Amino acid sequence: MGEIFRSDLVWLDDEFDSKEEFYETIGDRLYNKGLVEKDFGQALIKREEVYPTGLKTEAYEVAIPHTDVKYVKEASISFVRFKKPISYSHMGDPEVKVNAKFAFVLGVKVPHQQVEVLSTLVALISDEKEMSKFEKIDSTEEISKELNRFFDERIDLRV
Amino acid sequence: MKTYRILVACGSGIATSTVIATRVKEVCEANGYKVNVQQVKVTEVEGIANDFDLIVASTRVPETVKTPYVFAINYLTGINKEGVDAEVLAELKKLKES
Repeated sequence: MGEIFRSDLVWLDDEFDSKEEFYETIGDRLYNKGLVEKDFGQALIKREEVYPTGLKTEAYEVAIPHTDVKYVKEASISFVRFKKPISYSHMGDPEVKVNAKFAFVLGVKVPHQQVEVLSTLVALISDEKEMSKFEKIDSTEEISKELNRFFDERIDLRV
Repeated sequence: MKTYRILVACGSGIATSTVIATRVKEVCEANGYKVNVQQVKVTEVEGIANDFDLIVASTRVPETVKTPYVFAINYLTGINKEGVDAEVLAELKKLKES
């Protein structure tokens, strides 16, 4: 298996005025890289309205936007650090607001093949020590390296 | 031994339900329950709920659903995951004894 995170799918200190603007932008970026269908961004917007993707762990507030597999050409996870947090609704309770500082945009193609990756992502977002690194590092290469290290260590253990 | 049919649901039926389904399966099997776990979108729950013994979901399911239900968002936030494990096992225990 190749590496899960790529430095060209890491965006640092991105500034957006809304989720919609963020989703349109990320949709275009991933489409231009051949990873998703043209309407991936719109699909994220629609899905977010009905089933929000904000999460609040003990450590951080994040979003894990994703949508139907039919909009995904190739599995990927993008990492986005926002310059100013974006307001989300909580996945478990839309009444609860989440100020997402980071987003992990999931391009899920074959869910059962990505079980370990998704479980590891869940472990990561509730790990305060690990997540705090991603606030400080200012190189996309460094970030993807750290993310891959975290995933490699855990996924190897499970095999 | 009875195989318990568990329906795991989330908004898209692909990402968070995958995480939940894996955990539910592990927890049940570690406690001696044989389970068959199926993942769906939460919009599909209402139509098929009657075919399942238990529903575990990351979002709220419609109130019309009468199948026992465990709310499992904590599997994703990592806050008190063990509490959700205990709820799932308690529901299975109830089913076993009924």
